Amino acid sequence: MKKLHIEPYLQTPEVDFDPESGELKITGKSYPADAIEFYQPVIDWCNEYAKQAAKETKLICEIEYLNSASQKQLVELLMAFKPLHDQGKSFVVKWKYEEGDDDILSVGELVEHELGLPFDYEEVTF
Amino acid sequence: MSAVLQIQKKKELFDLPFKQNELEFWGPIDTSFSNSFLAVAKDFIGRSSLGKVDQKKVFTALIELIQNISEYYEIAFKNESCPADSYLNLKYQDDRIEVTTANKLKIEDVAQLTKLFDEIFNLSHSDLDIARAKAIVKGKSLGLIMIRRMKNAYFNYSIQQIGKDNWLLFDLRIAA
Repeated sequence: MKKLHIEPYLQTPEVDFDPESGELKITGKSYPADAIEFYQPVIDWCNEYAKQAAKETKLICEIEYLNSASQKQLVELLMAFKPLHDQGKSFVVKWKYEEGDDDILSVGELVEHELGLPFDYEEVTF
Repeated sequence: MSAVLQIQKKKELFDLPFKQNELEFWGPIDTSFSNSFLAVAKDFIGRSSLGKVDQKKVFTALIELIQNISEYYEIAFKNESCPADSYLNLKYQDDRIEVTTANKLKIEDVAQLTKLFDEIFNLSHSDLDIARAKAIVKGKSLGLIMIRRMKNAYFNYSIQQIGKDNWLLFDLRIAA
């Protein structure tokens, strides 16, 4: 399986997914008007990856701005990893949020609660 | 030089009236325009005296409001020969920012949208949390629910008939 790399643009994040190491990173701003257009190929990649995942998978989300449409797409993306977790394979979401940004933190907490996936939180400075 | 400063310099050069703490637009708002406006607005909000987290809050709310307008515009008025105008205003003063938006509605959408907004704006804080959880997984109106949940914010809406047209107005004020 090939790596997935998408360069960041004005309203979309950098995506850097390495299937061999299992380290999958989404970094930056995410507020495109058409979030489905951006996230669908990423979700498709994740669905494929979940069938042949690395020994350990770490999804690192370090997002500075997040619109509602992107939040819904992130939920779809995370659902791709639910079978991994349910099968007892190692999977964790590393949710990094800007210092004091309770809104982004609470998105992570809500998704963790709704999907039942393990999240680690880290406050960072952008 | 920032985009806002460049615009202000130009206005000064041509002796055009401007307010340093106000950003205003009147005209059709499609996706392309909303992307451009957001780029300018981000810069503008960054010049206010609000802290970075509050600035992010305002900008995040603005993204939701303006993207809703452009999406509605492109669906409802796509085939109109005369483009529907909308209005955007951002103003900062001391430790607060005000955002006002207004956009034209199709008459056939007024009843449904009034019902939807009445429901959202009547939700208690705990009901908002439940509505948000539903909306993030499978639902609509997540953006408005997000704004309603914001702390230190006043957020309201009205639908007004002005002449023959119906307008949806949002009023958001965020204080430090």
